[in-house]
Amino acid sequence: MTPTITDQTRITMAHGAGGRAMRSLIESVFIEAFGSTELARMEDQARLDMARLAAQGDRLAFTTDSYVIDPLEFPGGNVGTLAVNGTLNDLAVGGARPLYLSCAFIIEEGLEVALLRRVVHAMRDAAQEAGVSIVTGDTKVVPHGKGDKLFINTSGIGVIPKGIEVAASRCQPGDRIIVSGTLGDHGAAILQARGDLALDAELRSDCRSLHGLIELMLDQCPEIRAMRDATRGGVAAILHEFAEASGCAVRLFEDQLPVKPEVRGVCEILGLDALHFANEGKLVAVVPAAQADGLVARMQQHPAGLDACIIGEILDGPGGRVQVRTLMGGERLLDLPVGEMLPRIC
Amino acid sequence: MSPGFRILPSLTSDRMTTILPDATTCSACLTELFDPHNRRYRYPFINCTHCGPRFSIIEGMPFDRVRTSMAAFDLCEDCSREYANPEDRRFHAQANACPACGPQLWLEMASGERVEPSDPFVAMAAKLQQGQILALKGLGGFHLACDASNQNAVQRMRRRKQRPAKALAVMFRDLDQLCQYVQARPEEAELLTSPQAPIVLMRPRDQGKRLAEAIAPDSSWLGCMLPYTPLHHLLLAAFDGPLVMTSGNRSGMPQVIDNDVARVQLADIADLLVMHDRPIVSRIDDTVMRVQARSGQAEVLRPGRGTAPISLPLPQGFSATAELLAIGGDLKNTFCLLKDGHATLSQYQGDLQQLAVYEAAVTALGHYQQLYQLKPDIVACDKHPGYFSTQQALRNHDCQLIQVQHHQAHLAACLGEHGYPLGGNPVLAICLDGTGYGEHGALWGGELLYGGYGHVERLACLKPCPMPGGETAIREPWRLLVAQLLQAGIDPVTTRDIWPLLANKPLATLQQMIEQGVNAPHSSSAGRLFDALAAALGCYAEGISYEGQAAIALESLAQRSGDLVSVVPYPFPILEDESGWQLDTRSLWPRVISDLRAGRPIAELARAFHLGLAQGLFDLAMRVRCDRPFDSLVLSGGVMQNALLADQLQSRFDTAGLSVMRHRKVPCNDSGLSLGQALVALARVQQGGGSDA
Ligand SMILES: [Fe+3]
Ligand SMILES: [Mg+2]
Ligand SMILES: [Zn+2]
Ligand SMILES: [Zn+2]
Repeated sequence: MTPTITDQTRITMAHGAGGRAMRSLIESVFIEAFGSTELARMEDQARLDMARLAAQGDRLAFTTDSYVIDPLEFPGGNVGTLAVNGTLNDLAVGGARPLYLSCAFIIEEGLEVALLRRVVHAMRDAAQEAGVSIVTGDTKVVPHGKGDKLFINTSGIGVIPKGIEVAASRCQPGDRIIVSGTLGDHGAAILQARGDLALDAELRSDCRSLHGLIELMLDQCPEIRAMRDATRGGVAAILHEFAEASGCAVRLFEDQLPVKPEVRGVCEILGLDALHFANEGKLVAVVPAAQADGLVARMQQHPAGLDACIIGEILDGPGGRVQVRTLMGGERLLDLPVGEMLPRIC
Repeated sequence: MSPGFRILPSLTSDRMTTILPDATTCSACLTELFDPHNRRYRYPFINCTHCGPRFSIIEGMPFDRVRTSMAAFDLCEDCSREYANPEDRRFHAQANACPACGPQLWLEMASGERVEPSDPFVAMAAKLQQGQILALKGLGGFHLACDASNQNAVQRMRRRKQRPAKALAVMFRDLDQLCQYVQARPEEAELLTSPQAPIVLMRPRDQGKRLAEAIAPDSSWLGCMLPYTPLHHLLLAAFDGPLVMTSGNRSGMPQVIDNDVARVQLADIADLLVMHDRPIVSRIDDTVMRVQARSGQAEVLRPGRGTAPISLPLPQGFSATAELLAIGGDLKNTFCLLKDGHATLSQYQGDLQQLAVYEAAVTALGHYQQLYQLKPDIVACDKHPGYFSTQQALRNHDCQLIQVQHHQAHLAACLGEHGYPLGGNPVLAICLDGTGYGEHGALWGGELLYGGYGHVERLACLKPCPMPGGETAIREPWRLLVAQLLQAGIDPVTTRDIWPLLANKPLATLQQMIEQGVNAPHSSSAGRLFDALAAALGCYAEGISYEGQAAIALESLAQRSGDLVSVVPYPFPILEDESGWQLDTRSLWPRVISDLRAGRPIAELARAFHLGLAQGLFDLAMRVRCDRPFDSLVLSGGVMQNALLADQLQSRFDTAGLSVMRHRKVPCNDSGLSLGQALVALARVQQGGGSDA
């Protein structure tokens, strides 16, 4: 007898065993949601038309990322939104137009199907909004206690148009550093959503795809030198990467850093710095100084770039250094977080 | 070429190769300075072979005029004659100068225009009298000066310098004047009038004359000094009263040494700039010292002008051929060079997180390496992965890198300055400190370490307590109070009657941070325990404006309680488990709470805490001694700057017949770390293994 999947059902080991239960899960949850022709064919691989790819650029971009988050759902999204947007953003910051995604689910026995369905629907919506197809996937179920509810891996393929060259090593002294919006919203929202810190603040993750904004940016300013989405490690980690890769130094202006007051409040209580907080819908770009103001103005017209602003500049060196001009007017060195932030004060 | 420029044979080889600290104006020069018949009458740059600038003007070695910032001044005939005459006091005085040929002094308004009064010192004194602020180019850098009796002037200086509360040093005309304000023990008077002429921390007189309140609002100590350059002597003779004399720098910046930089950075702090045209090659701030009450020994708290570079022979057992560089820590940074059987410790550099300080330290390090021709094959640094000094060591040197645990370095620094031999019997070190990186991500700072240079065992510590908010907890001591209360099983909500400030604090969040381990690292630091108790007694619970402020206020509170004998110390029980011994800090808190509710004077509580902690540490050390024998103890770490605690500890161990080593030439705080790092690293290399233990 074919087990029917209802929202009251919890995932059992049978859903990963390759039999009818698994087929039922795939059909009623994944294909129902994603419904791409590639996926519906249920072959072992997606088959992509090379001519279509070649028509859009001269290089493929290919990336993968795994999404592990507690809690699975939070204000502004869930693990599924992250899994789609995160991988899309990793393609887009290289200048690529994202086209195809794969997704693999590792599900812990006992997960509610209703939750899984919400996650999958969020993935569908995010992919649709971004105009990409989820073309291949996989599902595994692990026994209770051998996983943490749900892990998702996505890989993505995109095409880089001819002439686009974005790389951290290309930063040059004098260039300006732009951030596409407020810092730390995702990190603060996740801390809040865990619910165990008794924080009272209205916080939403900034999780969103950035390739629309990036397309606009590259259209306005094809000379963009470097671009990264500021996820784990926050803007601080990206800037250290830029400084290392380019052999330049980076100067930030503390009074220019966009931080929402409620995020600032959380940072103050926790003693953490929004520069180190994760974002899921913010990018940092380095552009020639002459183009910076025009680019920021254009970005602000896009929903993903409303709060875009210039936050710093590239200096001659020494390579790898990141410094902050403080509100007091002095300059301090910015830590590269190595694991937990430990006090330096003796 | 003038005859003075011939490189003459050196007096002794020692004179040529040792870099001497700058020395205060000698009495012979002083007599000439005020002798109307002398050709250097009132000349602010008078000096001789016995006194004057040395280290601060040296560009290269050996020390000869051509390799100093005096090279630009051609000696006149009179000065040349003195320089060449073996009978003369100025024979080979490299900084020799007179009004005809030497450096000149001038005054500039903050607006940039030059003023030319008939007597610049009278003009300076007049400005000071009006409550104005002077930026004064001295020996190792600029100072900011104002009338120390004028509260408004001192407050204006604080505002402009963005230094709200940290104590300011005061320069007195002479010892007689100083004695009207502070109690001077013979050892202190000797120190003040020595060629080093440091700032000496002293006690204000009970019935003495009063300075402006704003000079040292937190501290029971006053930093005092006497004029040490001819310029100071002339200024104090003209002004007559005591002057605040603090480093000329903007907040977070190193002391200014350059005229052009002064015009930019000091023009909106000072009303008048006192400039001269003798360039300062090495920035070197005043040395800060104190005389230990118990021993009468002088102790350096900040190495600088007059003491640095500090040169120490390596203790017996250390290889004289090793060349090694130790980078020091991030705060109160110094660095240390080992070469030719000597350790050379640099002057205080400051907080390396401040970019300009970091760059100045890198420049100073380069200068030392060039002066001493040091090409190290080993570089030592702290273990803290986030220290900028550690990152610098990791990045810039392709030498063998040895990371040294913070408190082991404190211990070794003290052993080293006492000449304790390598391979000597193990000692017990009580390291009381702020926070130093321990092992495996833990923060230490209240440790009993057993061993020597090469290896230590951590036998005991203060019971670790979380720091909710990490560095923020250091800046906001109320967080540490909350953490201590929670650890003691006390709900902070029940204590709002005595600590009303906790009413509007996010206590639930703090508790959750601790329980969930969100930015709440544990630390066994004694400094943090002081912070928590200071907060409990109303000292800067909300926030501090400079490092150590709460603890300094707590010590000064305890000093005020007067009678020692009648105060019953707070108990600090000893805990023992498989990981070792701990001093339990939890039983302190119910006592503090009940004493506060009973209205007992807080000065007594502060005293009971100091005495109790000293007794607890003593008991703990004696317990440990049953397992690990030792005859010698080391007292180290920044908290040992607390004179009351250090003296209380020492007297207990003295009485028990143990030999106590305390810091004297090298600071107990993080300015001493680099020496310790150097010695630990060399010991490890010599004992084989080398890299990290
Ligand atoms: Fe320390
Ligand atoms: Mg990623
Ligand atoms: Zn002299
Ligand atoms: Zn002359």
